Amino acid sequence: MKKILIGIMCIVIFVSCDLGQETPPSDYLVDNTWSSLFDAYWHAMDDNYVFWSLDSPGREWDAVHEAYMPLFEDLGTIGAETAELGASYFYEIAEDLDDMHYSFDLYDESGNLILYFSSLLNRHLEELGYTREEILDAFTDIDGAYNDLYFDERYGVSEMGFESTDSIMSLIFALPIAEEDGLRRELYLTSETDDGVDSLVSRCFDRYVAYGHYNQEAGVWVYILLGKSSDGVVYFAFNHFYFSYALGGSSEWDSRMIGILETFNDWLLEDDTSGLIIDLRGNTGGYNIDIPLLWGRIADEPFTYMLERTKMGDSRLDYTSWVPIMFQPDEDGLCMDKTLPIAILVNRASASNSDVTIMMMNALQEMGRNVVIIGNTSAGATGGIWENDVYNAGEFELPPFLPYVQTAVVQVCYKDGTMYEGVGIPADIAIPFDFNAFITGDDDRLEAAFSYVRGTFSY
Amino acid sequence: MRGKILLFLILSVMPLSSLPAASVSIGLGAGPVIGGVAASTGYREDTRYTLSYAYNVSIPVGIYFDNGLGIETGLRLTDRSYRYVHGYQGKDSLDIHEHNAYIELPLMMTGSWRAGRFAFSLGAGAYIGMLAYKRECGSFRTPSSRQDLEDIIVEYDSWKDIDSTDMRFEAGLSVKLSAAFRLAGGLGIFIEGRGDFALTPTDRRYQDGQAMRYNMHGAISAGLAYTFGGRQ
Repeated sequence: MKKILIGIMCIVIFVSCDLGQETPPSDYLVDNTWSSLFDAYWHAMDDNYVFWSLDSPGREWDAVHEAYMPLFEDLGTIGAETAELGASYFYEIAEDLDDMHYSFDLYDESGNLILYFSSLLNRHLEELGYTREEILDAFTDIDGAYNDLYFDERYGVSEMGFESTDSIMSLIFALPIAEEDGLRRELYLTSETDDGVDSLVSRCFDRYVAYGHYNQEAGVWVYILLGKSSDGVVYFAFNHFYFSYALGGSSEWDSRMIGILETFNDWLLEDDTSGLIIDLRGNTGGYNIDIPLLWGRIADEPFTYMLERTKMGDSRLDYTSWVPIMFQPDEDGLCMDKTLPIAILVNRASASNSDVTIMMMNALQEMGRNVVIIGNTSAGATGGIWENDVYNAGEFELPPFLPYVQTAVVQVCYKDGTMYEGVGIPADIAIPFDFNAFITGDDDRLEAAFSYVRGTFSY
Repeated sequence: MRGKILLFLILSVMPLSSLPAASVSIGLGAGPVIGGVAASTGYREDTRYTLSYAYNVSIPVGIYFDNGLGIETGLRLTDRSYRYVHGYQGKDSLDIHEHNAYIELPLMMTGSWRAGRFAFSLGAGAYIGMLAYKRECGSFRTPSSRQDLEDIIVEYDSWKDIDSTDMRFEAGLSVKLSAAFRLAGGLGIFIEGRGDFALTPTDRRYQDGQAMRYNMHGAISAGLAYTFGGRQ
């Protein structure tokens, strides 16, 4: 009997030994040394990062700990004299991660920003030919080299750095979105109220709404241009999926955004509508709930267009099943004419909900709809961003050194299982960005989209 | 493969039925399984594992001696499920039923008591199992960006690939309690309750400090059995 009891106790001890990690990552941050910060960061990533299936399918992340802990231990305290080397180690660790939502700010003990990291910007700069040293220099010198990127002859004139809704509105459609001193200005113009503004937009579109407003709560400028040409082509460009943000808001600007959303949905149903162009160039995403609000009248029945999964526990490869995400049609059953052509304009900076929209449109294309993606491969930032406690993964913080580490809470792939994270979704019709033509108002990509929906496109 | 294993089991115990003091029975049973996993959610206070329900079917084979002792084996399919819940703002944002089904080979020592047409037995032993399929169902709740908009709820039920993170085989300990009633000749009905405690985790170890889950389930199985030879 005694032996049996001892045997049962041994089994219980054996089983209970590896039931789980009991220590929160922040508890590893015990002092202001680099090794302590790295240990806490490593554990927080271990528990919360969702792309380990791509970035550590084996024990690669364990190897990172083994390799870098001695280096951080040698650095000692997080201070001015060790900042450069410590920041470079953090950059080395993060630079190859596939999560294109991944970003963080690293501060020293005096509150100085010593490293800004964005995986998407890092990849943009790599693709534009920046050396590793130049990128690290930009990420560690925010007031200097980082700001200079926007005036640099590589990033500053690239589609990632330049081609966006506001530049399209100002350069292609000649809308006054900036003062003479270059500062941005708020803008709300419609075809009814423009009072004869001599803008290309009034010549391109019989009806239009142009919107530019700084959203204080979100801390971003929101730009929208909705127009309808005399031959029935609906053009819709916007830089953030923030329409749901305006729902329930009470300001005049909220009402205007909702008005634009309603006008877009109404125009889709009009008899004279002959095609649709959705311009997502430079659109970096926003709220998921915008997707059904915006695209509910594109189709009239549910269909699966992508799959998503998240973590079920803190172990790196402990995932849920791939869960199908369905298109949600308009609640009232209203739908545009399904024979009309749809062109989606995207560039390398079209991220997050823009990636999601492209996957939805690709699924429609497979269903036989006349849909085309024009421009360049998208950003490939497909994962979703919510607070860490919504699911069992995602963003985390290790104050005061890492006050916010942004990382996706779900993995997303196309309905057929193709993973575009870190890669991007290729365009059907690839057209290179021509900066010199663009700044003189010549937009090849936009012209191709109009030609396509008008049935005159040849390539 | 399954057919060969079954044939092997039957052929291996049949000769014993020729022993004057032994009888051999074979049956078919099915019933519900309830249980979960022994697992820790660590510091995640908004996460919990709870019970889930599934099924088992079995082909029990037993060899019983006149002194009341016996050996039971057979073949069974046991769906060992557990429920994983993650809460957010008072609602379950993840509510997942994970099903891991195993083809199992039990081996138990039993002690039996007879009373007329009734027989009762207690048993203890072990089992080994091979992962046959994985299925997952449940719901994801994504909070909307505004209080006045409804959350997005996605419900799903899907087969899940067995991949390199899954432990393909499981071994564990079992205890059981059963009752049987002889209908006519060698034919009888039985019902048994069983507790299974896995000694091997459901996942392979692929990282340091990995949290493991161990199946812990109770099963009820009822069905028909036919007894050859011995005292019926």
